[in-house]
Amino acid sequence: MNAIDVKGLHKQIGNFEIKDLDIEIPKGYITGMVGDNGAGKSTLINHFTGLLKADRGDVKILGSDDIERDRENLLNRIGMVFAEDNFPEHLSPAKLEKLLTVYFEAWDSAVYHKYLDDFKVPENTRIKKLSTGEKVKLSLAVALSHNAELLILDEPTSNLAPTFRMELLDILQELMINEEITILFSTHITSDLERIADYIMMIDDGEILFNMEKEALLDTYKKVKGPKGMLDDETNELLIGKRDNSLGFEAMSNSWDTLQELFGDKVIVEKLSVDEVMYFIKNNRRDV
Amino acid sequence: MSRVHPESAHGSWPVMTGQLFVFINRTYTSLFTKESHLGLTPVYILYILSIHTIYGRGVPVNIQISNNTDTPIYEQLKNEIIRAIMTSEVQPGEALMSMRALAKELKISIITTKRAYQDLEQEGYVYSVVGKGTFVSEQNANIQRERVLLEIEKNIEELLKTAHQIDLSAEELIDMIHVIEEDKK
Repeated sequence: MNAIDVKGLHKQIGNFEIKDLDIEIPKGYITGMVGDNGAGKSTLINHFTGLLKADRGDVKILGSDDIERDRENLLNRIGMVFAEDNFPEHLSPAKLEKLLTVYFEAWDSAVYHKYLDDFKVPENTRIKKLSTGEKVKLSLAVALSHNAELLILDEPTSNLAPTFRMELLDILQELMINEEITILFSTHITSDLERIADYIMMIDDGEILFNMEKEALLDTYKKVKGPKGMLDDETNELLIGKRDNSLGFEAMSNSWDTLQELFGDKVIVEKLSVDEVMYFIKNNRRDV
Repeated sequence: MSRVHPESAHGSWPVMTGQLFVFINRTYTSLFTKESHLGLTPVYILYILSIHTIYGRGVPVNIQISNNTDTPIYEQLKNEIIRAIMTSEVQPGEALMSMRALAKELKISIITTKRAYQDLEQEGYVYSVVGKGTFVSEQNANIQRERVLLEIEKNIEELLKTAHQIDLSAEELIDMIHVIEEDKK
């Protein structure tokens, strides 16, 4: 079962193009979306929330293939957090709630106040006067308070202090105990994802470079390092995004075991971080 | 290790080490009254350095996971659970913590725990009942011993390979083992 199912999504905005994407976001798991600024993360997310309409292709969210028609139902079931919030600035979080209770059928006031309290967001200060971090926390509290099945978080952690980021990850994992909940989390702080994401999706220049299980990704691909002059044309073929330095080379490879067999101790095989995966894949794209 | 049901854990926590015990005594009140707000089986956790002592349905399991080794996390988790089964920390028929709760407690992804549980099931250590959870299987003691012996054999081969690099003889290795064992006592 997928929470989000995208087939052949195409969108042109000025010079930027989202190119015939197929995406599946499995229900009950955390998918982390990574990519540089301007890679198309937010553009993609805007399609999921009905803020943008595809030029062509199908977008199916929580079983609905017509976001326009099911807008009200869907927005109740989706919790959204953006790095910038769009709440009326002159309201306080307490007053904002009055508005939200009208809007969300399954509004849970107790949960809302619990999160405001946990996050130390002042209830009676106007939103305008809140710090950037507090605003993100407020929008998190809102997203978490209407029993949403799908949480879409667009760069939620970029304005948050590291300690609160850790807390947020705890909260998200706590939510995931419920098998019905799906989280799509876009970020360029990949360490957040390394801990909790089940799937990692990488987007670059409007294209999906990969969307796979994080464990499988990091088991399949490893970082390999070796001295200068060790490789020939054939072994070079086994490397992705190779970069040379004065002492040797560094690359990513899914044939690291072959290289180990061939070169023994001369080649060093290490675990990759998600950042490094992105780095080598981008190198590779540039080289081709 | 004594078996303590969480509700009766106050004051009678199985002693692990002296220091830890003091720490636990000081903090257990707040930790042990914390209930999952989702209304699921309460989970009792202590997070001390990288040692997680986990109580689920009264079954204590020590699980230690490190992010800084080459061993994949699902494999570490699997090995830890096998160890808990072998040392009878969990008995046949007892339930393991749910995958999702365990993922949260260990701060790892759900798929990682899922994979460890699947492997354990395939290898016959545990079985799962849809909608109920994962339970420890009746273990065949001989098969288990075989498995462990195989594992030891593999480790010894590695050890010999390493020792060979500096021309260390098997006799010298055995001496080292004795010395290290003495130290541990």
